[in-house]
Amino acid sequence: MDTPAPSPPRAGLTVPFAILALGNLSVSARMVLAELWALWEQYDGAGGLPVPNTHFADRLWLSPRTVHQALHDPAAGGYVLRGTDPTDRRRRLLRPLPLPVTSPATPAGQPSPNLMTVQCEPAQ
Amino acid sequence: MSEVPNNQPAAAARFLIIPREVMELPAAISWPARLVLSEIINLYKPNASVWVGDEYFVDRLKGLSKRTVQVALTDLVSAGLVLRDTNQNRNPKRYLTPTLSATIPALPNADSALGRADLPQIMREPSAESALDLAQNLREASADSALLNKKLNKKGNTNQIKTGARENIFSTPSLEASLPASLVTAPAPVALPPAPGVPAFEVFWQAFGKKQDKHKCQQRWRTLKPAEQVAALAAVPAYVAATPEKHYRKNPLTWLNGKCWLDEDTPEPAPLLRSPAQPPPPPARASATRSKAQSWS
Repeated sequence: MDTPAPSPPRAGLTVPFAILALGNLSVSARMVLAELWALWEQYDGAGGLPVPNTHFADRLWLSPRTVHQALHDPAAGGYVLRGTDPTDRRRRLLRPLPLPVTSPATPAGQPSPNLMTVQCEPAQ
Repeated sequence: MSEVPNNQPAAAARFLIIPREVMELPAAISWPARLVLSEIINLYKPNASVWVGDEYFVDRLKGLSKRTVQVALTDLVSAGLVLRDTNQNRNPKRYLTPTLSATIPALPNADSALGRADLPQIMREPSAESALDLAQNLREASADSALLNKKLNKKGNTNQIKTGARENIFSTPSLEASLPASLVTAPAPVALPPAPGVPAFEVFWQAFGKKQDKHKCQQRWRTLKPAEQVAALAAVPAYVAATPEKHYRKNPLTWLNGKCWLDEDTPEPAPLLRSPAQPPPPPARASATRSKAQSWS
């Protein structure tokens, strides 16, 4: 099984809104989930990702304990599937599961105030 | 209002791009603060500041309380990563300006050592790439929001940015030229404000010399505006030079409370009453008491 290439230490991170909207998860859990999705996007293998906790700890400046807790909550919430490598049972595999589709609009149905004000300019 | 569908796509709101510079911040910066800073950077455009309220961040970054957002903003301001300014008029607004790209020094030869071809596309490694993507998203969001604005308030330019630069940045032929220079080119190191890893208060504390009530001074320092902090840092050396003896120097808390960097009459440098190497004179009262005891015996 191919091991995903480690994320470069100087790379940014793109967090989809579907992950941001998971308000029941802690911020650390959401960041771990975003990093897992980013790895999954570039992963061409099957099964799951053999990502150790140290990867998330180094990438997201989190302690191993925090990563452990942050992985537990998405797994319990059904956002991450955990398994073991059949060839090497010591390797933990992670696979992100599809996220619920949410709307980026505000609950009141209005666009965000910042989009109306700061980012908005009349079409020319 | 009913014309606006609930799922109105806002391209800029589909993602939260955490720039490379934010990921490189030291671990002391909490993740809520990083998210708030990323959102501020994403909202920032040249010649404009972000003036969204705390509620926007609470709504955008689900799960963060308003108190968490306030603490995050305070931390970002105290770390020199965000400038906060408020105009004092009938409708006071708080302007937020990210200063991150200007305060982080460039890493030499980092790109060549890393190998740009190895970087995954999803990571959006360099700032320029993520900024271009952001600009593409903003272009769609700008058009969508303009349409929404016209529908909502029937006023074309009501929500236009009230700054000197009113031209549409996306109408310029070169998109890179319209982006912030710090997002396109490598940021240059600057002297002030200090780097994010070195709090400005420590610079002040070391320069002032008289180290009393540090905790209260830190609390007072956080309440100062960035411009006041810079002014205080600039005035400390002159005040310390004017008061060479710490005994006659104001306590730092008093100095901060009085905003003494605004003083027009700075104390003149007083000559030392005694040299620092000279031992202090013996206490006269003790000798008098001793002589009195001897006379009684």
